[in-house]
Amino acid sequence: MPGSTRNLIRAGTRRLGVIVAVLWGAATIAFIAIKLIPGDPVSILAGGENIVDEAERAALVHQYGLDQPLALQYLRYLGDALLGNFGQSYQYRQPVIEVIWEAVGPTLQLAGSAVVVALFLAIIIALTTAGRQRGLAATLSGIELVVLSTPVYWIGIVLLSVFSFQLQWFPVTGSDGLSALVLPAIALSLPLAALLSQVLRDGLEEALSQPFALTVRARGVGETMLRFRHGLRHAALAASTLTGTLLASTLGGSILTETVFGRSGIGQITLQAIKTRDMPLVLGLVMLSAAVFAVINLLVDALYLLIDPRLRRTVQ
Amino acid sequence: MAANGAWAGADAAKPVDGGVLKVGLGTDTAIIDPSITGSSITAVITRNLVDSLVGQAPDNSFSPWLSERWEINGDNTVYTFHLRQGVTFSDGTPLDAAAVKYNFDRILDPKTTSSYAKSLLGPIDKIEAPDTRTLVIRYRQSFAPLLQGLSLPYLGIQSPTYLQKATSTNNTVVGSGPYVLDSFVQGSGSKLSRRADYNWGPGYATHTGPAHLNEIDFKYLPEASVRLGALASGQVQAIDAVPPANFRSVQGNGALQVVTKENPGVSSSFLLNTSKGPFTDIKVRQAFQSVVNVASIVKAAYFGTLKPADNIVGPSTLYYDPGVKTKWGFDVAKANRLLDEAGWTEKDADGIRQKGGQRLTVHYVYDSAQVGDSDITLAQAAQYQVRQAGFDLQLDPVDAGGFTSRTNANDYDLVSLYYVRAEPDILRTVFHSAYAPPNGANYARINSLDEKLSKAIGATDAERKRLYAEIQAEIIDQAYAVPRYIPAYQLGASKKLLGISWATNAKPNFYDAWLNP
Repeated sequence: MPGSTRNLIRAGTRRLGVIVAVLWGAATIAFIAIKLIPGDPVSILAGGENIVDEAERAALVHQYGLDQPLALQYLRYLGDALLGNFGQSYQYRQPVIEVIWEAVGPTLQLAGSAVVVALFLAIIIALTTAGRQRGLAATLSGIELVVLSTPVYWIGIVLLSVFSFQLQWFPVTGSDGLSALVLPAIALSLPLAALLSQVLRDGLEEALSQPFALTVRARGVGETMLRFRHGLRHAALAASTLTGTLLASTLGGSILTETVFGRSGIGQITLQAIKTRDMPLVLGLVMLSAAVFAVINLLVDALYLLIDPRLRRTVQ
Repeated sequence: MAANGAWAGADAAKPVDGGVLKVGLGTDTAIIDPSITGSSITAVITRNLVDSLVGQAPDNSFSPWLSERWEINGDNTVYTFHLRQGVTFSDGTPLDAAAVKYNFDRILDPKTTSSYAKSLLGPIDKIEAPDTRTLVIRYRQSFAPLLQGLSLPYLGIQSPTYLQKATSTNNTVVGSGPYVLDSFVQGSGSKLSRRADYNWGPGYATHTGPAHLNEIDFKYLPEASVRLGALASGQVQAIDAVPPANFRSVQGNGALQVVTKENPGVSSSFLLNTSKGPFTDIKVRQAFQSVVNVASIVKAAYFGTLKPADNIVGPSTLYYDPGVKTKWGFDVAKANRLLDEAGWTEKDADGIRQKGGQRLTVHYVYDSAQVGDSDITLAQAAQYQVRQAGFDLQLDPVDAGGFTSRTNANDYDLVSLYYVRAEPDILRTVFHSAYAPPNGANYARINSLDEKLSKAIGATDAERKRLYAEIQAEIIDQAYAVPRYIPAYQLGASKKLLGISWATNAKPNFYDAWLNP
């Protein structure tokens, strides 16, 4: 099928072009924003107490290229970024890439396990409640709404109070191995699970009311099998888009979760970078999240093709 | 108000070796290298990792440490240190004069971007190591505060072998201290383990040989309620930054206690901007100083856990003058009289004074990420009080960037700050014209103290005492500042944790500490 391969390559190139454009746009907007908001990078560079004389101040400004014209700073930044170099973090005195790389691991752990827990919970809840037991479904739906509107911060503190301080089942800090991952992962997963299960249930209910469900039932397929094999596939389309978006936005949740549980990670360094105006690091983080969004969108699109055979035919 | 009975009494018991001490910290640091950062949490952690040339006991006296003895010439321009023999860094490198010289030269090198440690070293001319055990530091001009600076962890000595080969020193420290850094992870904490062959503690320590605790585990727990919960549930044995509102609950717990150690240095104060607006007039400044009821606002904000300040520096600062407290105080009648004299005679419908159609409005600019909730309560209480004399005090919360841009642009009337240091030379950072924003903390923007502050750096003891007394008096008389409270390090701890000593910068020292099983 040479034709379809060519099509795929063309589609791939177009997507790559879009990703590059998105990254460039994100980098530019971040650069402009950071130059516009007030602040004095030298006081961060000087570290803590900010005791510098004029000569030291000038030396620092020169060392970090802050004395160059804005356009030149921008071009140099873009050029370096192309080579994967985002410069040195002001507060960490270390290449931005290294700072981010060190923080990515713990956050991936947290976000990954939270999404897995959330998917598991959501699928179970949606499968068992869709279209039956009005009372139970309504109650669960109510609970979901409450969880959704509760700040992750607060959920984290409640979980800690009960399961760490009172029952002492789990340690308080989030960096002491697997048992310390449980509470933060649950805290971060609950709102995700609540949202996902609502979308999944709606999808399931819609699928089960369609004519094909009647056909399947008529062929003597059991209710559980029907839900699992056929209903879920339909509901999964909307849920997979949502999961992609949620996965990318767990960064926001991770800032709060990492703060409550004292975990290292992207959330913590993002907070620090913004608080201290650590420009190179902020720019690096913006690029990272833009890249993550782009890649996840790509994956979700690919997932669509897997879930729905009709879409595959369209591509061909 | 340091130790309570239980703490001091139990210290008499015989220390037990072993155990892991877990400490919950409220703040984090981006860099662990004490030569580069001025962060106080770095000092708490690295005090266990690096040793200093001299030690300073809580009574401000100096004791031998890495230096067995030292000589200082008459005008404080030549310091000669005789180093202890047999000290090694944890990587095996011997600690000799060349190693110390390497450390200080590195701090002075602009490429290192050291600012606080560098300021502690002062105007060094050159450093010499004539033999392995002798270090000579020569100054371009007299510099008396050196010993105090040397006693701080920021000038602690690191292994030159490690410094030379490390591409970045922000994650690791290799020193000669009683503990070795096993790991430091930003946003998470540090793990330290004991050095079995350590035998060169500071002269003021209560024991010799290795430290008692096997390990110290510093955990970063920024959320106060989480820190408290971890302490109460026994998951950590000590926490810092106990919120004032939680003091009673900690102290009500029979197994816990709060130890408060007052900071030396510049007390938490409002600094009044003398270069613009109403505060250019000394009478308006004095009126403001008189209408703030310091004792009452500190009590309201800190529930009696911190003492109101009576001077620009705290009582544990060298050359603190107790006489200054009689020079000022709460006096609404005096404030009203002064404002009348200054021409702010009319009052508008809100009770705010006016002069030539202008309202007596002053702006307090603060970085809301740096200024804690209690300090904001304090400012709100002050806002209410100064209104009694017709001041309109506006609270302008900004972020870190906003703070530097407002202060650099001279767009503020008041800021608040404190600095922790036992050496009164810290006043130079806050009141010398060389340190006007953006180069430092002279937010009052004055130059009238330049001569005295510069002279006091190198003068004899008696002369320094006289000069600093004059400086303290002048800061209050001229109302450059309104001192608010004496900041303190507040350690919430299990009663099983014993033997904590306090470095002069009011940070807990864990070398003598032990856990009662």
